[in-house]
Amino acid sequence: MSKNIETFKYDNRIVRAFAIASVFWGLIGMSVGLLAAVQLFMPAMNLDLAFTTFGRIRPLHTNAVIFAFVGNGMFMGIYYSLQRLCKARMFSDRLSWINFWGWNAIIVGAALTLPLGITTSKEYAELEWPIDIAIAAIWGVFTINLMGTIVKRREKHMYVAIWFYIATAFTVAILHIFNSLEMPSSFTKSYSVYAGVQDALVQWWYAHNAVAFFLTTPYLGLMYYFLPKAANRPVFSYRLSIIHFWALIFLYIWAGPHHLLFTALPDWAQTLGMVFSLMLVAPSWGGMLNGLLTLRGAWDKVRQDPMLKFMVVAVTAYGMSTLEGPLMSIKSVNSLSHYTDWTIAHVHTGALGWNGFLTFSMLYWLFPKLYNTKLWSTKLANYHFWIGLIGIVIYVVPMYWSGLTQGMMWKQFTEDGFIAYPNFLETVTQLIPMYRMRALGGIVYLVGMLLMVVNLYKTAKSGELESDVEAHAPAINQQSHEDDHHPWRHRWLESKPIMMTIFAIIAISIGGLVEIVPMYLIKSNVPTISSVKPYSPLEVLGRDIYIREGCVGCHSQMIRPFRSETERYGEYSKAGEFVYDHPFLWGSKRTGPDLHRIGQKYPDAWHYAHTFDPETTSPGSIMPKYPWLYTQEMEIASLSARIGALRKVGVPYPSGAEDTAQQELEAQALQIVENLKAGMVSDPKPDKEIIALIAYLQRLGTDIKAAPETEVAE
Amino acid sequence: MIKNVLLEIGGVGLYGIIALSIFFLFFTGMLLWVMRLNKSYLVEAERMPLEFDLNRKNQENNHE
Repeated sequence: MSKNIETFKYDNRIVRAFAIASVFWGLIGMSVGLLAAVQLFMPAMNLDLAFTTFGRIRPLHTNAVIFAFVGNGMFMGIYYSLQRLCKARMFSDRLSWINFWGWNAIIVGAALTLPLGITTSKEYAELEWPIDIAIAAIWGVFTINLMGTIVKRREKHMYVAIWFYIATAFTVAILHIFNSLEMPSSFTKSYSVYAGVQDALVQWWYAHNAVAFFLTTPYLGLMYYFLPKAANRPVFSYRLSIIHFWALIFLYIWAGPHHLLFTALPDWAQTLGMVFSLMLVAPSWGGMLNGLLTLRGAWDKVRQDPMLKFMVVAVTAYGMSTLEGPLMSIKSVNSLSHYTDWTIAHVHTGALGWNGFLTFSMLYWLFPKLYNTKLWSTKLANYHFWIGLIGIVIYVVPMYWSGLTQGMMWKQFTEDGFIAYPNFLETVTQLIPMYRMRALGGIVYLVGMLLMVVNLYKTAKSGELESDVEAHAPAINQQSHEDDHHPWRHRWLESKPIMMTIFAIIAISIGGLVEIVPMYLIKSNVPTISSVKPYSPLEVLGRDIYIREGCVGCHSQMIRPFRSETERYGEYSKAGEFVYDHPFLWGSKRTGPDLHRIGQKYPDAWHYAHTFDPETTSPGSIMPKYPWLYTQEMEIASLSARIGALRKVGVPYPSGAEDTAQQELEAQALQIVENLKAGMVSDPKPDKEIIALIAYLQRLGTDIKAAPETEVAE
Repeated sequence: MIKNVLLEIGGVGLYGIIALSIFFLFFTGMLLWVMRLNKSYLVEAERMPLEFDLNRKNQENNHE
């Protein structure tokens, strides 16, 4: 052995820890998803508990699957591949373990706070500010560990997978920090610093790119590492992988506004989002083809190796969802698909197919390596593959059916020009059989996963963990530096991780800046409406209850400018109506009807009865009952802190509003109690939470009716 | 300061042109760069994920 050769050890223990966490949280996250799915045809499955009601567990499901299942899966793959690609142990074992325990403590925090209704309501960013700070800190630890390992590597080049990891680390940090800027009113409650249209734009810039840089780029990096390994041949085209990387990170960041088509977001931003989404097909399909073509001449292996089977379906699912996504971003398609189960079908092709199957593939490959043994049962892994695939089909197909059915029913007019299904509920009860099928699909997928747990457990039992794997490599300073004479060349760029990071940050910043900066600085983007006023203290409390119960998970507050919507709901929503909405509550799914013009549509007594038991006013409704709102008292003690926090983020409450808030609240509550009595409600109490919720609902969308609308466009 | 400058620009059209120019420069630059990559580098780089196993196999063979 040459004297330049260094001996070091790869850390497998941390890889195993993340692997176990990924499997564990995957089972939890998917089970919670199943519980939520069952509630859509059997609302009583919330067990009449606030903590297990759809609005609260839906974010628990999404957070658990994204950040716990995929998050731990991502760390597992990165910690394994990075060490091998860098020919170095992780930069710091201590940071590795802080990353592991910190991340999983955050997930436990999420699992406790979300069912308690502690939420910001911003999708995939629901966690409250103390947890947001913890996420930023732990993500920082991961980033330091990642960059530290890259810097001390013994390999001159940085393989393309590492580029994807770097882009992931820095972009997720930027997205998380900017979207989570919020003003606390207590330890468990905060208000977004952005309001209405701006909040919506920042939120979907974040959420879209959470999909891009949390669920996609790290997994693409993992694909570029694990697929060639499994197929035992290099990637089809390394050039294409470079184009894939730069084109993807540059284009992805622009596409956020496609979540806001036909909303009150200015038209130019919507169009930009749509155009860039369409362009995204090119790099995405380039990446998919690069993955699939890597298997050219090795398809016989796919027949035998379950790991490759999972990988092929994962990459195909990536291709399908990244073709479908741009199609759904075309405005005319979006007008049909948006707010329906089509979106649910789309994201589950990605989550179950791409992320799920790629994670399973890595787990089946890693466990025998970590335990220095063979997979316990290839046959069982094959069963898992087929069961999982069938599960995806049973899940996804009914959701497409459901989405198309409901979308078309909403838009259907009679020959006389009236909407054909004026009762929203008709378009929901139609979907119940599909909801049952979807839950069945979820069960089947979960059964497959249980088979994997058995298989991995038995595999681990049959071997012994190789905690530290010895490896040898020459130190990097001993290697030739002949390429440094051409500093403008690619080698110079990619061998300097810091430079590479800066270029990647520039690439991802351009899109965000071009969209977000003008939205702030050019006032005509949000024409103000003089009759729109801040919420009253009682309405603020009511709005916070609406947020706590996760009503936004099923009800939008954004009427699009279509006749089919204005006929059903009333005047379409204007940007200026949301200037005091911290956070915005436009929603992204209509399991129930839009609520933006619900204010004054029904008497207070209707809401009182409906919220207690929706079936009393709407037979067949799948909305849960909210009996606890009738026993829990309003949190009046926190009122002045809430008003103060809202003022700090720009809501123009007059000075001293905190002092008069309680008096104002009581007066408004008594008025509602009077209305309820007039509506034959026996003995309504003015201090219960339902009163605040009714106040908020009755205010929704009514401001523009209050006075002649005056748009002040500067 | 920046606010005033941007307000004077006003028209959305210019943003579009700027965005388009950035877009074209980015992609043309990237494609030119990728096309000029050295073949030996590409071969070396694309084999990186496979190298560890090869090393390991060699070591195992040496032990035998």
